[in-house]
Amino acid sequence: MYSLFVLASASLIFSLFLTPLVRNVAWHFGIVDQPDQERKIHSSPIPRIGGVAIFASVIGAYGLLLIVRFSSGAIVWADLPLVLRILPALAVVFGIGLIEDIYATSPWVRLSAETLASVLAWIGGIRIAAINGYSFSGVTVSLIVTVLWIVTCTNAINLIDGVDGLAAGVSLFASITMLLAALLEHNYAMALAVVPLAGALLGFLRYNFTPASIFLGDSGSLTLGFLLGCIGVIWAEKSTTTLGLTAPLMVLAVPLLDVGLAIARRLVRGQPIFAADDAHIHHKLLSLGLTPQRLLLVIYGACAVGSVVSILLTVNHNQNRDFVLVLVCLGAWLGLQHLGYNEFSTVKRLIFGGTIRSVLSAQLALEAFELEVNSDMTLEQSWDMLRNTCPRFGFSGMIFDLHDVRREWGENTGWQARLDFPGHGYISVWRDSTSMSSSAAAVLFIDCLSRAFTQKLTNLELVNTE
Amino acid sequence: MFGRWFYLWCILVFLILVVPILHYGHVESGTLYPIDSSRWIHFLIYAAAVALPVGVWPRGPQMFLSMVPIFIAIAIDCSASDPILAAIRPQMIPAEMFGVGAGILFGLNLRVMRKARDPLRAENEKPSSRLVL
Repeated sequence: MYSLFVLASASLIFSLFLTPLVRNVAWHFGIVDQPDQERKIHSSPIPRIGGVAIFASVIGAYGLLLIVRFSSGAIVWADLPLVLRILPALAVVFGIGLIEDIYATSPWVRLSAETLASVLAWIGGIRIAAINGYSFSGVTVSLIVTVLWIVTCTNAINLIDGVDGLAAGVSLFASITMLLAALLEHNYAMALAVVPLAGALLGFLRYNFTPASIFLGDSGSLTLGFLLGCIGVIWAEKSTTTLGLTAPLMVLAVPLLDVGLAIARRLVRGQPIFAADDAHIHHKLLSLGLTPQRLLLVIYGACAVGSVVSILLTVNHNQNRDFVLVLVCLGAWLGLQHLGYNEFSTVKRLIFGGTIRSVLSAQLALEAFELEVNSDMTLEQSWDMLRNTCPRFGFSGMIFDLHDVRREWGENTGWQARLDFPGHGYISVWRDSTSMSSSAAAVLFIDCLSRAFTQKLTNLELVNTE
Repeated sequence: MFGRWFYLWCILVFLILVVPILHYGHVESGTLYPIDSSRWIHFLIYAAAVALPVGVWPRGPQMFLSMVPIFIAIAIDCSASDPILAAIRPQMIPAEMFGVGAGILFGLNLRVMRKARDPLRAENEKPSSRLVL
């Protein structure tokens, strides 16, 4: 226990001293995050390589432990081969983050580096070999699942790094929870792995809490996410119970939910998955009127709930895990409903409101309509068919004036769409704005009308020319 | 619509209260036992019995009073003294408590969705004088 205290204190003190130094270096070299009018909420340039201070503090704390030769130094030495095997992976993630902080790289380059780092970690022994007690049949599945988990965690902390103190605070909650779980399960190796990270984050938060004087940067957020993902795997695999990934999932519930929402949102909108936007959970909370401090309280509160749930799952040997997951999902759903994501409410309306069905039905009807119009039908017959079809799409009035056929029908109220056919005439249709039929289908109808009669009149022209 | 949900709630509460009483009366049933020994069925029935008042009924004392039969049923399970029943019923208590929690959360979700669909009705919603427990 003395070793844990020494590690935590050492990393805390190192972090408190190193962070301002790193901040000054960043100012000197101009490695600052510039504000913009779109997504970022800070109004002045802020240095952004805070990750360097955090990891220098962690390494310094370990170095001190080894020098002072506490009894737990033996545990550190025993696990040193594992650390050395993971070090290349960590270096890759930290390196790409630092490059991203200093220069800008493409999201695909970053993703490739994260994937490479995850594969290196898997080779080094960070492996998810089973889920919920079910072992994977082959190494390929284990590799894919492990890489997916670690890459997701890496990007989750990175995406949530949008408000002062948010990513560092969430990571601090996660590391303290992992430390408690390690102590409860007498997993002192894992405790030793996590405690300097917690101390360093606490020291860093002194400067990163709102108003921040330094940011984590990608070097910090990517590496934190990567480390937490790896430690989560160790927690799940070395647990004395069949814990699975449920407890680590609960610990990182908030950032993982944010990354899941971001992917789903961009898929629905047809945007690139890596496109930056201002619709993350913290942006939504800010748009609801919360100050940055209150936002942190809300998210820290959610993290605390996740932490308590994961500790309870650990203590109760994963009993009632399924019920807990249902409750967490219902709670998340309730929270999301208050955030007002239009994408999901629109999708729900489209699916359950019958819009997709009505558009599909309209599209099928219009294809048949277009075929009939382009058949050997006179304009008079076309007019008859059009008059019978218009009400199906909510149109209540029409003027049909093509060549020598001029007809009127219905009431000319509401909005009007006029289709001009130069040299031939026009068709005007009216639709009441209170019509109950699908407006999407109405637009399809007008488009079809234009296409069908353009083709028909062109054919008529050709026939007359001949 | 309100009446229909009330009848469904009555059926669920009847099941919740009567089944433990049947057990205590040693009324064995080959049909009843497999259903009653499933934690998920306890969870779902309690969740539904709580979600209905929370999600559908107007806010007011009736909503809170509707929880009374639920907690009576849980208390019955807690007080199982018969050695045979004590081996079975208390195991269901965590599932029932989680069901209550899930019902509250699901009911709140329903309430938010109803409010989003019809904000004017939600604003003017008052406790109905027709509801009598």
